[in-house]
Amino acid sequence: MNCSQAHDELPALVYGDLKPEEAAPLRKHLADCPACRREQDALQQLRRMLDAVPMPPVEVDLPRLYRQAAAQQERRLRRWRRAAVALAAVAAGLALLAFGHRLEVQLEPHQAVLRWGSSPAPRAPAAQASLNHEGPTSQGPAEQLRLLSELVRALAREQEASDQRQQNSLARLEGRVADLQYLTNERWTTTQRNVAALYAAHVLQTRKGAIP
Amino acid sequence: MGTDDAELIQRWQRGDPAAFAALVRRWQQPVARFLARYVSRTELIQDLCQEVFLRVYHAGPRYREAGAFSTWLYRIAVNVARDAGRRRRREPVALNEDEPATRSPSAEAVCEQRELARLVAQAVAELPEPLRLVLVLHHYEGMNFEQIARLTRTPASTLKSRFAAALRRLRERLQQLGCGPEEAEG
Repeated sequence: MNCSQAHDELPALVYGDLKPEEAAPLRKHLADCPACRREQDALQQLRRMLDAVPMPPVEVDLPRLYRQAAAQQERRLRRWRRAAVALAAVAAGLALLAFGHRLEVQLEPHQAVLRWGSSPAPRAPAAQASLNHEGPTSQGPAEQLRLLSELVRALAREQEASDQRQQNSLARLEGRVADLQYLTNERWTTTQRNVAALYAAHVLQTRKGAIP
Repeated sequence: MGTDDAELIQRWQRGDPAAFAALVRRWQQPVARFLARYVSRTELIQDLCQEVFLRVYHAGPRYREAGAFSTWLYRIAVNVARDAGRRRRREPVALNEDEPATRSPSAEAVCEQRELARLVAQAVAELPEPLRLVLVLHHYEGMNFEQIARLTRTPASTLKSRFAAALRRLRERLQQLGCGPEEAEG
């Protein structure tokens, strides 16, 4: 084994990643090569330095996690609801197109009448006169379809508007949180720099005082 | 521990919230430790850790014991860290490159413990992401290369090369900063 091969294998040796039969030639080389032994010592020192980095304690906030999960679930449900309303509108429109000719709609100021199939027997003259007097006569299929479509579209628009308002509120809140986070990070970075500078200045001052 | 994790997951999937809480308590520090080394921005660790377990909570019903729970969990943590990195384009502030290579004859005299830790953390943060990931998982999380290969879907041989390259770059960077590991007298 030459030094170049040894250098390639040293990280694995230092971290215990080599099997005994793989490590044997490397150990033999190290026994005879002071330069590679120095390289091994430097790697071991680097490993110790990596362990010097402290770890901040962290605790997951479970109540907040459950609240976030519930909020995300609610947003998903709203999206599904919007999709369901849209699908229902499409289905209703298709049904009307398919069967609209058999559907009769009569809209009056005080009532709406939906009739399916053939028209009933003609009303008595008095009732007919009353109908004529009270409100508009029945409308053609195309007009009925248009009115129903308008109704469904209005419902869907209302739902969309409501969801949009909620989304806007959420987006505003998210923006505020992001701004606060950014400000906090900036302040923390500045504080870190100041502390490092103060520390360096203190060390320098101490050394100046120590050296006559 | 693997068996205990599987038992907790099964209880949680059957609707036991205490099982999920137990999983969180068991894994929050290892996940936080991993994120702290990988992301190197301590102010983000709490939120990222929270996000990891939120994703675990949502994905729990779909979890199937195809491998170790830890592999699945760390994969989520890696994705959370990467998503955070994409959201925050600002890179960690690199140290001034003009700092003199030697501030004193001996590295130990220059680098007090805290300064050393800060410099090492900074040097780790400056590593390219693929090298940093394998360094953190192998050195700090104690995963072997086969485990890391399953987690990252990268060949183990590639990971070994990246690990060696990460150590090399770290050493070079720390030497530039005057805190490199000193070669012992031969």
